[in-house]
Amino acid sequence: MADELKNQPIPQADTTDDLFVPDDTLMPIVEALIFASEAPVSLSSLKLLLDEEYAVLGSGGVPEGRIVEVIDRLNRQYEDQKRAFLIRYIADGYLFMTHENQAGWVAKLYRNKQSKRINQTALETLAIIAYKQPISKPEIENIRRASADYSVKILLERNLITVVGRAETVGKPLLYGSTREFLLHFGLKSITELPKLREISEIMKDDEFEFEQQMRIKMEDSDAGNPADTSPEQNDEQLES
Amino acid sequence: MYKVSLDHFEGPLDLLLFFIRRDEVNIYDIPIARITNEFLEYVHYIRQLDLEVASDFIYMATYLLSIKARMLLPAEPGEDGEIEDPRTELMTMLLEHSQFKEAAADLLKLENERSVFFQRLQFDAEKKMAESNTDPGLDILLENVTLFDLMLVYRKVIQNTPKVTYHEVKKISVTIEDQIKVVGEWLDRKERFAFSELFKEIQEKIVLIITFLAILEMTKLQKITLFISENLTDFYVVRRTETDEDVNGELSNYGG
Repeated sequence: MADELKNQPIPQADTTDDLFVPDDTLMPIVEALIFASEAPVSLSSLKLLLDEEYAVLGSGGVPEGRIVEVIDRLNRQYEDQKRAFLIRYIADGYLFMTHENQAGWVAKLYRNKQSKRINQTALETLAIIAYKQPISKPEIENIRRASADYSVKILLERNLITVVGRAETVGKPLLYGSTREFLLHFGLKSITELPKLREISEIMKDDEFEFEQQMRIKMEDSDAGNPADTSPEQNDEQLES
Repeated sequence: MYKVSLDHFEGPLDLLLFFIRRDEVNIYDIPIARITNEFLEYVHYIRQLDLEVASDFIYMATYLLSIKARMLLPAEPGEDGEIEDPRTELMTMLLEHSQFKEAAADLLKLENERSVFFQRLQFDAEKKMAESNTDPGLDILLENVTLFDLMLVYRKVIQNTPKVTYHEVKKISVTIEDQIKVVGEWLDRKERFAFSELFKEIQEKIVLIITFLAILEMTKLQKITLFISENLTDFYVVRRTETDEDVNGELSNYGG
């Protein structure tokens, strides 16, 4: 640390990692910050908070990589000690969550507080919005070929989507996009983590529509007295004139 | 035709996909005529159940019919010399629909995977803040605010704002004496006029009242006579001459 350079404005800034805060100091701070937070805490806000104390003029403060390391260490500790919780990265931030082994128990606790499942129609609308955002209601309806009024209303109420602007098209319809609540609800790290849409060309190659089959199975189950899946007698693929 | 439960089909495209799957139809070569007929049967059935849902299906039915019609017409080659299959758009539509159905299934899977992790119960901070009515500070309030939130808040504020009503006090300089003159002028022009006619002429309520008082005053001074209409909805003002005192019994003389 002996610094002979006279032009150096900050005496101790002689290494790239000019200020090293030991893990033992950082760990409880980071732990407390995440623990006390209601919503996921982003890496950048953790850094911002730490730098209030540890950033010295001209230094980079605590590098984000260090924070990630510290969180990893914390998680390893929890695991070693068989703790019932861990820090998960979800919705662009860190959040304490219970361990999946305890899911059954916590589910009992939350029995009456858990949000209702989203119905199929709303889920399809949500998928369209998530993948095609920003998107207007007319565009959604064009894909679904059915009214999206109700779905959009439900999704807005559940805070899974929000208005992100207005389209420049006729009537300037509102544009919808997904929210942080959406990421939280589906356990996504960020919106880029959405599973990739299967290419249409791929679906075309696939002559079995898996989900369609699933639907048929569902129908057979529920309409047991009324079997829907009787193959039609006539089998003319030709166009009748 | 078998019955299908409405709940299973999230829209007309779902129903079409179902027909295609069930009949193991090649999606590149959809037998439009048959599918259309089946579709129409179904539409007929659901029309009786739920008109709003049915409208989406009816719309699709008309689309199918238009494809059917186009297929019956001799096709003309497009600019690139290719003959376009009228069913192409429908096929793309169905495939795109399948794409998002898959995506929805993916989301459902994610939701299930996510459901084994619990975060600490939502603190309901907003509610608590509203209850304790303390100022949460701008930082917290402005975090994650979207345009839509602002819109909602704006609307709420506007709705809850008590309407400010302005009571404008205008000084209307009108006196009973003035209005006696006015009534006199009217009676110069017309032999008699109905009180209701005043409403058409006079806008301000106060002037109307003063005019009424003027009429009463004139009656008292025995300058005019008032006739009340039979159904008691109006009265007429007539100038009183020296000679016509107590002209007839129906006359109601307020001047007495």
